[in-house]
Amino acid sequence: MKRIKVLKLGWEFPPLINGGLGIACMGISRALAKKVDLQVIVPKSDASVHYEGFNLTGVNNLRFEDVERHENGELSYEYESFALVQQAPISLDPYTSIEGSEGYINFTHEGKILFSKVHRSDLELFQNNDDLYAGDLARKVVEYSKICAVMAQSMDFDVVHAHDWMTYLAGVEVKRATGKPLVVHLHASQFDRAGADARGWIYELEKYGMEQADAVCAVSKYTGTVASGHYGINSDKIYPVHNGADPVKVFRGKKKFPEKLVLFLGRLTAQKGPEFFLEIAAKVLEKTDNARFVMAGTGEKLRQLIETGAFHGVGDKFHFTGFLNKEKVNELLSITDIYCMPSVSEPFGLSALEAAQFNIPAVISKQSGVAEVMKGALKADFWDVEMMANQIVSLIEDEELYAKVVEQSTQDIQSSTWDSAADKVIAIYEKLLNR
Amino acid sequence: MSQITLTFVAHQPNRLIPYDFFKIGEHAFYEDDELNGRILNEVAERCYLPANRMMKQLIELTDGQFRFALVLSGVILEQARYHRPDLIDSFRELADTGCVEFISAPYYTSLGSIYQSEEFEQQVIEHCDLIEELFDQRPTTLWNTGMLYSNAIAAKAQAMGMTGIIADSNVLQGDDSHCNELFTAPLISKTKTLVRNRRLSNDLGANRVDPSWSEYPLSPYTFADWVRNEPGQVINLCLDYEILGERQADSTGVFEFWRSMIQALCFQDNTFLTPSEAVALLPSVGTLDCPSPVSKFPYGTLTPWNGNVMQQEAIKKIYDLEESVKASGDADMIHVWRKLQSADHFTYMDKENKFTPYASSFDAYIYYMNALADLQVRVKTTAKYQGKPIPSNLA
Repeated sequence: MKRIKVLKLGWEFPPLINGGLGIACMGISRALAKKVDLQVIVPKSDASVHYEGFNLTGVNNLRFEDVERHENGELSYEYESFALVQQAPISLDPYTSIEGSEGYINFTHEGKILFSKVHRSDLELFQNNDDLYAGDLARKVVEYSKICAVMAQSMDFDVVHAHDWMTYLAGVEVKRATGKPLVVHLHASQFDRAGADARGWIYELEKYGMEQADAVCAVSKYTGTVASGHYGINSDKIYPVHNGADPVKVFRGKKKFPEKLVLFLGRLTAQKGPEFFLEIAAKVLEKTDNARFVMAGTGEKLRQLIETGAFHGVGDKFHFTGFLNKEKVNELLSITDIYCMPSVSEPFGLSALEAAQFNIPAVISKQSGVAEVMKGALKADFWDVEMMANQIVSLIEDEELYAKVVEQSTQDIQSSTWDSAADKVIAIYEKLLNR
Repeated sequence: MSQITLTFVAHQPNRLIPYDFFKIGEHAFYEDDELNGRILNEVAERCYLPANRMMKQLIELTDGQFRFALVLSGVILEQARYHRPDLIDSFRELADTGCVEFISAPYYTSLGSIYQSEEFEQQVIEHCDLIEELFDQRPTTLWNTGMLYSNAIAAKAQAMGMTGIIADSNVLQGDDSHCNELFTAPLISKTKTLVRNRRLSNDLGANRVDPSWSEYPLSPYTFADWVRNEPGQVINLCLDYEILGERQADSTGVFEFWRSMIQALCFQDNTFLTPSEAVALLPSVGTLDCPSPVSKFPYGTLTPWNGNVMQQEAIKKIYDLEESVKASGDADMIHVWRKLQSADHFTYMDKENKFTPYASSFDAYIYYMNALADLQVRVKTTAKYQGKPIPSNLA
C-alpha cells in the first residue's frame, strides 16, 4: 500500500523548545515517520538540526519572497477562519491558568488588511530570539495559520494533523484551503489549565478546532471525556492515543540523607495540584519521620507554597528546588524513592512514566491520563490527600508492596511506546482516507 | 552640663551560601566565607579601623575625659579572627586605653532571650569569656540582641551578675520624657536599666544624612548644645558602629562631625561615662515595668524577626534541635547550630527587609531550611554512629 502523506502542524519542537508538548510532538513524529511520509511545520526550528525520516520546516527559516510567491500564485485563496477571529487578547500563556485580559486587539475593522496577506513583519514575528509564548501570542497564532495555509497549497499530503490549540486555526485553514481531512491532537486543554469554568479565546479556539476536525486524538480516555463533556465534541470522532515514553538513560544516584525521598515534579500551577502535595506531605510526616519531600519546578504558586509549607510546619522536611534543567531532574530522579503526582487534571502525565523508567513507584491522581496505562501505580482522587498520604506511608514501610509496584510499573512502561501511539494514529488516518 | 554614655554596636552577619536541596547531607559548610570575608574587609577599611583610630585619638586628646562602650558580637569577632586579625589588635588598642568598656551580648546575636532562656545565658557567658580572653576585662553590662528587653530579661541579667542592661526608649511606651533616667525592673535590685535615648541616637544615625530632615545639615555644635540642654541623669546614645564610614560614607563628613561633636561636648564640661560607670554612680529613679519583650525596632515590635510564617517555622525548627544537638556532645556541631540561631537569618526572611544578600525573603528561607535539614541529618547520623538512641524529635 502507498504510504500516507501527512502534514503535521506543531508549535513546540526540540531542541529549540523542550516543553512537554514539544517532547510529545517529536516522539510521535519520529515513530510516524517510519510508516508515513511526514512533513512538519512549526513556528521556530533550528535549521542545522536534521531529523531522521521527516522534514521539519520552521516558519522562522522561511524567506519572505517564497511565501509571497506562493501567495500570489495561481492558488490564491481567501482566508476563511479569520472572519471568526473577532478579537484576540495580547497576552496569552498556555502554561498558566490566567488568560491575559488587558489590551484586546479588535480585528474587525483592519481585519481584512491584516488577514489578507502575509507581510514581511509577520514573518519576523518568528525570527527573533524571544520566547515563542512571549509578546502577542494571538497574533503569532493567526500569522502562523496564514503562513501554513499558504505553504500547504503547494505541498503534497493526504491529511493534516494539528497539535494543540496554537495550531488548530492553522489546521482548519489548511483544511479549507486544500480540502484535506483534519486531525487535531489534544495534548492539554484549557479545562486542565483553568478548570471547568474556563472560557475565553483559547477555549473557543480549542472548541472550534475540534468541531472542524474530522478526528480528535486525545492523549487519554480521560482527556477524551473532557473533549466530549466540556467542549461538546461528538465522541464518535474522539480517539484516545496514549503518549509513549522515550527510553531514558537510567542510573541510580546515592542519596545523602537517610529518609525516603518523595518527589513532586512539575509546574507549580493549580492544575498540577501542588497544594495537595503539601497537605499530603504534612499528613505523611504526622505518621512517619522517615520521609523528605521535594517540590521541583517553578510557577505562579511557588511563593505561596513556600509559606504554606512553613505554616504546616514541614519547612525542614519539604524542600523547594525551583526550576531544574533536564540533567538536574534526572539526578533527582536517580535518588527518588516515591513519585507523587496529585494533578487536579492531567491530560496524560508523561513524568510518571519517566519516573517508572527510573524504577520509582508512583502515587498518582485518578484525574490523569497516565493512570490508564500505569496499572501498577497507586491511585486516588486528587483531593483525597488522606488516601495518597496512606499510600505513600505504605510504600515507605512495606517493602513488599514497594517491590510489587515497581515490578508492575516496569511492565506498564514496556507497552507505552511511541510506536504503538503512531500505529493508533495511522489507523485513524486510514479510516479518514477510507483505506 | 550633661552626663553621657556612648555605646557602639559592631556586628556582621554570617551570610549563608545559596544552599540548595542537592547540598543536603553532602555539604557541611553553610556560610559564605568568601562573601563574609570580603564584606568584613571592606567595612574594616572604611569603618572599623578609621573609627577606632579616631576614637583612640579623641581619648588621648581629652586625656580620657571621652570614654565610650563597645558591643562586639561574637560573630564579628570570630570573623575578624579568621579574616582580619589586625582588627582585633585595633580593638585591643582601644581596650588598653582603659577608657573603653566592652559590653556583653549573646555571642551569636541570637533570640535566645525569647525562645530559650538557658541557651541565652550560655551564649552571654561564652561572649563574656571571649571578651575577657581578647580584651582582659569581664563585661558587667548587657546588651541583648536588637536591644530586646523585658522584666524577665532584666532578671536574667541580674542572675548573671550584670550591673547594667541597656534597653531602647521603646520600653517607655512612647513617653520619652524620662528616657535619661536609670530604672530598675520590678523586684530587681542589683541591675540597673539604662534607657537608650532613641531620639538623639536617631539624629546621629539616619537623620544626619537625610536631606528632608528639618535640621539637615546638622552642625556638630548644634548637636552638642542639644545634649548639653537635655534634662535627666544621663543621656545614653547607642548606635551601630557601622554608621562611621559605612552607612554614612566618609564623604558625608561623618568622621569630622564626630570629632568636632565629641570635642565640643568635652569642652563644654559634659561628662562621658561608660555604662558600668553610670550604673555605679547614679541611682535608679524608680521601677520600670516591662512585662513583654520590647525591641529597638519601631514601636518595639519583634515582627522583623518573627512576623511571618517562614520566620516562625525557621525559629521553631532551629530551637527544636537543641536537645539532640547538645546530646551529641560534638562541640563543632553545637557551634554550627548556635550560629544558625543568629537573628540576621530571620531578618532576611522578612519580606520588607531590603538589606539582604539574597534575591528574596523566600530564597533566604529556603537556603536556611536546607542548611538546617543538613544539620538535622548530621545530628541523626552522629547519634547513630555513637550508638545513642535517636533523639525523639528526630526519630
